[in-house]
Amino acid sequence: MRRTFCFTLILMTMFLLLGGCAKHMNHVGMMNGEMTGRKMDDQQMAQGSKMDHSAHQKMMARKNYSRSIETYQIPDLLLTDNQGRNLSLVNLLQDERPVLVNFLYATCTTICPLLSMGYIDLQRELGAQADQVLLVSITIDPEHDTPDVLEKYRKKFQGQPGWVLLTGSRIDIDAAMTAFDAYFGDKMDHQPLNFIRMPAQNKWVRLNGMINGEDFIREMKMVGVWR
Amino acid sequence: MNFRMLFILVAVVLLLFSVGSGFVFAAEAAQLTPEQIKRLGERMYREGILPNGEPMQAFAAGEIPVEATSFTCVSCHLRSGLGAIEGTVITPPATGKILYEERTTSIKGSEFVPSYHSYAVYLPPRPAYTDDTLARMIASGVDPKGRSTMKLMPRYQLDDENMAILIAYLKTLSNEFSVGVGEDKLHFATVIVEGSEAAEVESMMVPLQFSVDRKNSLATAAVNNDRVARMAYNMLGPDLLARRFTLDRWILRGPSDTWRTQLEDYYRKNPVFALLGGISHGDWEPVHRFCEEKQLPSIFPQVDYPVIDGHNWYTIYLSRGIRQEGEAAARYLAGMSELFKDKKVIQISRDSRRGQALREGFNEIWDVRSKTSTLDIHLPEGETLKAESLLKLIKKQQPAVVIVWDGASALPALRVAANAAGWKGLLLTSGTWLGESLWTLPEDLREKLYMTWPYRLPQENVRFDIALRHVLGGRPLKKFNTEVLSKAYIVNEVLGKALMDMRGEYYRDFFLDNIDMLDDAYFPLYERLSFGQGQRYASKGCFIVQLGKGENPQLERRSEWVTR
Repeated sequence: MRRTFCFTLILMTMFLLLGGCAKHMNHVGMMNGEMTGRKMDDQQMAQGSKMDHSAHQKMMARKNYSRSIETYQIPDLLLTDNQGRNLSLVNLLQDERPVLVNFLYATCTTICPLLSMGYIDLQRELGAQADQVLLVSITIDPEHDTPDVLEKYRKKFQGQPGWVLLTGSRIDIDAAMTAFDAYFGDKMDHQPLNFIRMPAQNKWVRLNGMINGEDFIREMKMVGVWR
Repeated sequence: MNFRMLFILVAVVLLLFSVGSGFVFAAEAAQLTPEQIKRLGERMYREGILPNGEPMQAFAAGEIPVEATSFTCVSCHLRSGLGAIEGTVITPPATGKILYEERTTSIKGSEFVPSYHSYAVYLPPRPAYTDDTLARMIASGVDPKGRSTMKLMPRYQLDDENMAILIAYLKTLSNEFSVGVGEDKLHFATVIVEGSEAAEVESMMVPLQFSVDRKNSLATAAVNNDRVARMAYNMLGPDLLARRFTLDRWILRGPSDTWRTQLEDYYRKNPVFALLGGISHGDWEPVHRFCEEKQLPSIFPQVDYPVIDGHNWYTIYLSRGIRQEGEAAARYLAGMSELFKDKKVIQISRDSRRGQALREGFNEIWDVRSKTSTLDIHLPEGETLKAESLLKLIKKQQPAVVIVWDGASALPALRVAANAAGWKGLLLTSGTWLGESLWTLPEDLREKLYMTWPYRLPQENVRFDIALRHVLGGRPLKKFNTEVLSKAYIVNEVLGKALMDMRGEYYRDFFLDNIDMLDDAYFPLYERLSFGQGQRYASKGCFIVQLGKGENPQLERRSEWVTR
């Protein structure tokens, strides 16, 4: 009896006090572009585009990200940009230029540098027209990522005008993530998501995966926001 | 010579060059001393700076020319070189020890540990790197199996000599267990500054010792009981399961300028893997500097005045200390400073270390965030804040806010100020400095007095009492200092989580890398702790509160945890 009790006690303390299972057990991995992602909705996508079928087929064969068309209601939030200016998220995302959105944080060591590389690659592809596309990044670590931290981050990646990085209160940031169905509970569980605003009201292209400048331009053309 | 022969000759020369380049690397690296490899290679790896002082050049996302100072190796592979895991992406290790071994879908010797397997199975198998294939991967983004890594990793433009230095450095990175790792033991210590209250020391030591004893009991139990062994194997892996912990007490005596010698002495006699907890209400900087110099992790020392240093790496503090309350007050008031119009903010602070920390924290944020001027008044040590003087000041200045950084002795004056006829400003002070007096504030003061409170509200924190009781072995919670107890409890939790993620790789930098990768944590005392590469102050928050009405009042929050 005593032995059983001791055994139970040991097991209980192991579970209770070693803090649960190691984080690695829950991970779904991605290496070299082999992504797990959301269900694609390419047919719907192609219908809304001017892209010809063969080009679409070709693109589908080579892309390493998934896509879907989603409807998002953007909440009326007051966020702060990397220059310290308070901006209405709704107004910002109604900009007349094509609008792209992603979520990142400054001390991320995996996904975010790649997301940011996608943005700067797009700016490089656009060249002199770089500021003709509004790139929005919303931090998911608002407690650490102050406007100063975000401005340093932009400079580190050599981001050009047209890239706006936003921070805000934890509640507002969570609301923004939830609005884009990009809330994963913890910043360590985030996914490589990019969003492109479509001409139709509240419609967004949701891209899950690593996107480069060429991909962005093709996706923008497909939905008719870039020629 | 016909074309065919010429082609064969060129092919043979290229082949010889290719085969021989490994020897070239080795020879060039061999000309450098280990110190040079460490210094020059480390600078390339961590800062993206070449030995000649120029930035390394790289191409990101395949073809975007960038300076490697923005795309350093360390930013993804981390200080230990053992890589990172976040979300759905794994950054693989970049240490020579691992790169020069074949990678399969399991980790040798730990094939059946679930967490190890979940990690290893997502890394694509590859043959062992050689100097040549590694150089090719770094320069052209092609791995030994011919797969491109260009979308994920920049390509670095390095000449042979610099490539040799970088590769030589990678071979030294996390290749031998750190100091403090014994054959079957992991050594820890905690630093206690002499003069710390005995009750506080006990409240810190009980959870820490519990953690060590529990781990050692588990190692013993696993030897004697197969079922325990299986369970522990699955959770901890074969190495951590069997390893025992030791915990030494390093007591620092006398003036702080003599601590360095004492620390050296302790460290020489018992070199440890990391410092856990620690306690000081005064100085801590000598311990902090010692840890930086020895590259010795120090996890959550309980100190009022952490070293605030952007380059700090080896000490992870629970927060920015007392100063954080001043910073939070400034952020809170700056958010409403447009309402102040031309009215002043008066800041009265005790001329003590605590008062100074609060004042400096406030001023640092306020000077940047607000255009409203402050009137700084210093209250000499030993002098009580007089109600008449404060009233006179308020009458003359009609300030928007009066901040008083002082203890309970200021309460009578604050009460008079709260009732000053015709004055509509607000009062603000440090809730923690008031001590127990906080709970008996006069009703007429409660309405006008705002306070900083760097913890979760007490009425919401009680749900964690059950967790704290687990480490007390039946002793009543009320006999302990729950603030100190909670902070030591947090050390245990973080230590356990980080060690379990280390897969038996006992390198100090990897230990810190793993803490940096922890999820946001909801432990006793703090509303939230958060981590990230290089984030060294885990709690970023502090509520602004008021005391509610009634005989058993509760704190009522007037701000979010983190005020922007």
